[in-house]
Amino acid sequence: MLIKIIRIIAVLFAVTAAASVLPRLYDTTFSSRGGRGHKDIRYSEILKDFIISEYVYSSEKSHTAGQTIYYDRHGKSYSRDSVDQLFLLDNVSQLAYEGRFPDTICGMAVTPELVSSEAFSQYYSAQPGLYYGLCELRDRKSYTSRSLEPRDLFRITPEGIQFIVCETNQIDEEKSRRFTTELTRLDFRFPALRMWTSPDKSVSEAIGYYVTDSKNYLYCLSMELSTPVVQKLEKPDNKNIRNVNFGKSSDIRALLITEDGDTYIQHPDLSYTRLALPSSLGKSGTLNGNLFYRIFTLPDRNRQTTFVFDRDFRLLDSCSLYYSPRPQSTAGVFKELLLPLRIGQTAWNGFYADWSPIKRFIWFNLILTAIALYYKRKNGNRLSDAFTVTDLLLVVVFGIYGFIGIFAFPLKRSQKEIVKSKSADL
Amino acid sequence: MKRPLLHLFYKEWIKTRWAFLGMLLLGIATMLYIFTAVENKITLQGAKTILLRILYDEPPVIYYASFRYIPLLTAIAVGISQYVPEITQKRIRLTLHLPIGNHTLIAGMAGFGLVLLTLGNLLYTGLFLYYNVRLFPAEITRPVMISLTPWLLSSYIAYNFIAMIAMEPGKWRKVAYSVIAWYILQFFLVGDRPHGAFGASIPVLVLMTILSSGGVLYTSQRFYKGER
Repeated sequence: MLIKIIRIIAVLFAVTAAASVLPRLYDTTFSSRGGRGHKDIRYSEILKDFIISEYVYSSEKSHTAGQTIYYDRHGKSYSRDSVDQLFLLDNVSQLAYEGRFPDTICGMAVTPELVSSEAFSQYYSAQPGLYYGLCELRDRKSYTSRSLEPRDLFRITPEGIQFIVCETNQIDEEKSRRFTTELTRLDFRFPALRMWTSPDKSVSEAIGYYVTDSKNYLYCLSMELSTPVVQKLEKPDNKNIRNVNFGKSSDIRALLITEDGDTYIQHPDLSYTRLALPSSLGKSGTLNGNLFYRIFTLPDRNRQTTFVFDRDFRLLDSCSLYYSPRPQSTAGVFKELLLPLRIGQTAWNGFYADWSPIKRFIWFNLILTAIALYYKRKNGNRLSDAFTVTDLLLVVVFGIYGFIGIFAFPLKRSQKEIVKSKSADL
Repeated sequence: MKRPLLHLFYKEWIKTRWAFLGMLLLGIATMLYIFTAVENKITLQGAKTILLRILYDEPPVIYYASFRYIPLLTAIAVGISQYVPEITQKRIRLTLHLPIGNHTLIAGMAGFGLVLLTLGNLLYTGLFLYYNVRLFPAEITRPVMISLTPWLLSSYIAYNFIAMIAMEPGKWRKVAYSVIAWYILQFFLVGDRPHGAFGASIPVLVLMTILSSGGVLYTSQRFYKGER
């Protein structure tokens, strides 16, 4: 009995190994995905509308060629040259080089320098990044003297803030006490739940860290001339913070994502504006800014939506771009039929098991089960035996992997079973 | 403990001691090399620079990467020295005729190997913690220990599969089980990701390690029944 249970475990090991390697082998041998053209969407400040560009393939006389086509939401087509004139802000360098850059855009006097200085692009996410709880607090005036260059990293523990001198791996008690006192004065409840800063060194120095305390209150912690500068901040609509992304333009201090998925802009005066965006939970997007607009792009499954806001963060327009699911090649269909399961692991979410649609593989699995049943009968395994039935169930569920497993680890009949089956034959 | 089992353990110790001690020496040398290199970098670049690089560089600085295969190599050395001579020189048949139940005997042999690996892993972990805690704060030590756990567990899974493969009588099945073992080990020998990665996989990896320990009983039964 014990040995038979161990054998079932061994079969499951074989299933796991096969389900992790065979799909990868199959993918490297056959291309299971068909091709798909690239699509992009941009907002024209001239048209006040979206223009979609799409790279399409055409096959003529067995020769495949590709070209980019442009059209708007109503299906009107545009030529390449006319599109260049519709995106003056995006093509500033080229137009200025060719001497075709206009003096005004939409009634506003512009120069190439002004347009370039207002353009920025940044990535933002609702998912907090890698966090070890040990950070570097740079002095706002560190550029004035090397003596202000910190030699420590800090953490915020239940006992207070601790600055660890890196050379000795010891706590700087005096500095830690000063900062703990200042935080306590502003009613900070230790420990910190999370800290955020900008990857940009100068922004990180100027703003310092946004810290949520154990009661989920928001604080800003920085340092000037080695003295703590702590400020308690209002939370947007009193909601708890999920993630903070610091801004790259002068009108955005930070982009805050709250736990319910809402996105807020924090302005330099620390006031908030809630953006009319759908829930950002589990998503990462991009924010592009120019002289006139703030444009957010949120990708989703087979879709991306672009939201255009004015400089006061009022929603002007939005447009979704749908990607048709990739056409599946014959190899892809066969993969779902032959290999019903893929097992793997990711760095942060652990193991995963991706199943193909059941209708794709179940008939093939049943054929394999019939073959397994034939061999079991031929070897004299009785169908009344629970382990024979388990074997067959493994093939029904795992298909080819279960089939490989039960033959790699054969189920031998006990002496008692052999004698019993022989006496039944007689 | 029963006296025959103590005799069995002594016999296993005689077989495995040089391989085990040799691998321990290699493991300790690797550990010293890792931390000498870290201390050297701290001297050259400064402790804060190194700490920040370890925490936030992309790709991450895996300063302990040379340790990845040490537990696995220890398991291979112990497993091969314990089982291969017994099987190739057919001494296992004599062992199986000792006045102890076959399952108890095989479980005793495997248990001895697992205890040896546990001792080795405890030594590696202790040494690693000693140096790491001396040089780095707990915010580095904690995630690094999570990253080391799958590598330490890989030694048990490798040993269990070596024992299982060695006892298997059919040579084609030996090949098949080796292939399975190789791909199962890939789940354990993960690296080059930020410290603390694969922490979510650890419960499943521990379960796999525990479940794999019985495999040797299945093939040993096939061995002494003379199945092909």
